[in-house]
Amino acid sequence: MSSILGESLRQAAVATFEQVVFLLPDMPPDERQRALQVRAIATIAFSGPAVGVLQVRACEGLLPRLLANMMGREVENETLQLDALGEIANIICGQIFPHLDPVSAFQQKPPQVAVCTDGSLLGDDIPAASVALGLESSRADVVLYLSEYAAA
Amino acid sequence: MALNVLVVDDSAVMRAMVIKTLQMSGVPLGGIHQAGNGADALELLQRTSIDLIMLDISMPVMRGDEMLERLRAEQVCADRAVIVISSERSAERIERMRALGARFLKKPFSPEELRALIMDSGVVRDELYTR
Repeated sequence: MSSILGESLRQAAVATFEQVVFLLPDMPPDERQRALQVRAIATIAFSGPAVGVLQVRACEGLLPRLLANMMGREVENETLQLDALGEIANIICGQIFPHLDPVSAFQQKPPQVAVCTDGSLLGDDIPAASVALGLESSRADVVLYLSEYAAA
Repeated sequence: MALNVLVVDDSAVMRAMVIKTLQMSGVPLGGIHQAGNGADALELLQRTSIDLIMLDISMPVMRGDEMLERLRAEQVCADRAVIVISSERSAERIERMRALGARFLKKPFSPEELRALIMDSGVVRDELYTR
C-alpha cells in the first residue's frame, strides 16, 4: 500500500467529513469506535487513468448523523440517509482523483449504496489505501481499490 | 430581479444542500425547481422559465455534460446561465464545461463562493457588487 496514496486518501476523507458533514474525525478511532460493525456501504466504480473502486463504509449510528448535519435538520428517512452516504463517497472520490492523475478526466459511476447486515459485502481484496475515521460515537472506513494504475 | 433556479442532481440530499446554500448566499431567489437527471431537466426547461441552472455531472439516465451539450444546441434556452457543481476536478473536464459556456464550482462550496460565481455570471445585477 502506497503511503503517499494513503495520505492523499486520508486528507480527502478528513476534509470531506469536516466541510460537508461538520464532523472532526478522531484518528485513529478509539477502541469503542473500532469495535463497531459496518452497517452501510457506498461504492463508486471509476475508470480512466486508473481503474478501481472507492468505498465508504458507515458503522452503526453514523447515517442519521450524516443526514442531519448535511440537511441541517433531523430527518428520519433511510433512503435519504443512504443517499447522503453516497454523496459523501462522491465527494471523496472527486478529491482523490487529482492525486492519481492531476490532468486527465476520470469516468465515475453514480454511487451504489447498500445496507450491510452480515459483512458479506466487505470482500477480501487488498486495498491500495484505506483510512478509518472515528466520528463521535461512530466510525467510517474509506477504502480505495485499484485494479489498474500506473503511478506517475 | 429574483432568479428562477433549476437544480439538477441525482442526489436528493445534494439538491437540498445546494438549495440551502443558495438561500444562504443572499442572491435574490424566485422559484426553485429540481430535477434528478439531465433528461428530466431538459423537459422541465421546455415548460418553465429558468434563469440559472445548477448542474451536477455524474447522473444516471443523462449525464450533466451531455445535458449541457444538448442545451447549447437548443434554440429556445441555449443562453441560460449554467453553473456546474461537481466533485470532479480534472482540468480536462473543467475546460470542456467552460467551452460550453458553464462556470464551474467544486464540491464542497460555501455560500460566499456561490454568490461570487452567480454575480460573475451577470445573471443578477448587484449595484453593491464591485470587481
